[in-house]
Amino acid sequence: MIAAKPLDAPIQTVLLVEDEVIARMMLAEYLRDCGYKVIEAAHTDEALVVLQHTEIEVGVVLCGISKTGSAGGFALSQWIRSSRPWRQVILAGNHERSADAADELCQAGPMLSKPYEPKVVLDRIKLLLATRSKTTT
Amino acid sequence: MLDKALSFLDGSPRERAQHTVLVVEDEVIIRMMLSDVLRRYGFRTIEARDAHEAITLLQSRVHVDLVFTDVRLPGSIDGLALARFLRQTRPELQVIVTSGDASVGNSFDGVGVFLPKPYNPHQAAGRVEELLLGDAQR
Repeated sequence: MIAAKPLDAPIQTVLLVEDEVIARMMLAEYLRDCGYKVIEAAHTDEALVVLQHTEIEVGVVLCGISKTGSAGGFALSQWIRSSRPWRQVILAGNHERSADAADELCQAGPMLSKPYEPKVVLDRIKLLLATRSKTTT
Repeated sequence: MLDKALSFLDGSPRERAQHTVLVVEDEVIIRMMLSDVLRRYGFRTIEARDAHEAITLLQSRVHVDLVFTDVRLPGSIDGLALARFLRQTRPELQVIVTSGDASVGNSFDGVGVFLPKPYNPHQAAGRVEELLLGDAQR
């Protein structure tokens, strides 16, 4: 059973970047059921289009690290940290590929392993949003 | 006036939530806006950026009632080919095809309903309602 969000809590938006359509659909539905607004991007190019629309308020970017689109998840993460530093990023991938990609790009950041565990993803999103809320108040 | 503005809420939320719309659109902002409006109307919405993703979803155990597809899609299968494929393999599905090329509307008789682009998301949601709720709306 999913706990309902308090009525006065603002709806937070999660940008979900995932090239595996079934995984994307299932995780998006789970997060919507938990009360989040979810924007689905099939690859990093779509994510960049969304992020460049400044009127779209994105709280957390959850990004698989596969190399679909012109940039991979790590490159997207680096772009967000340099140009949209107030946005939180979670990277997800299998450990072997993550380690290789991190080594290549010297990128550190919160990592999740795939396949996704929806509850783990939810807890990580809550933690990041709570952290952001504390640092901005 | 208010009644008219809220008329999209006619029909029980449960009835709407029982219907799933698959939105196939490669422009992420258009896909996001249409899906968002359809969810506000109470429909369950799933998304695909091309025909291959749509077919993957349709071949999974996900229940879909209506496919809303753009004609111009990346990859080897465009929206018209997808609509024809669905007419042959999933004739029970409702299909709406949209394109900025009005002549497309004449070339796919029998494989779906044509909605010219640009469209207002509420107008699109109205077509979805007509096809899925039909008599229940009237």
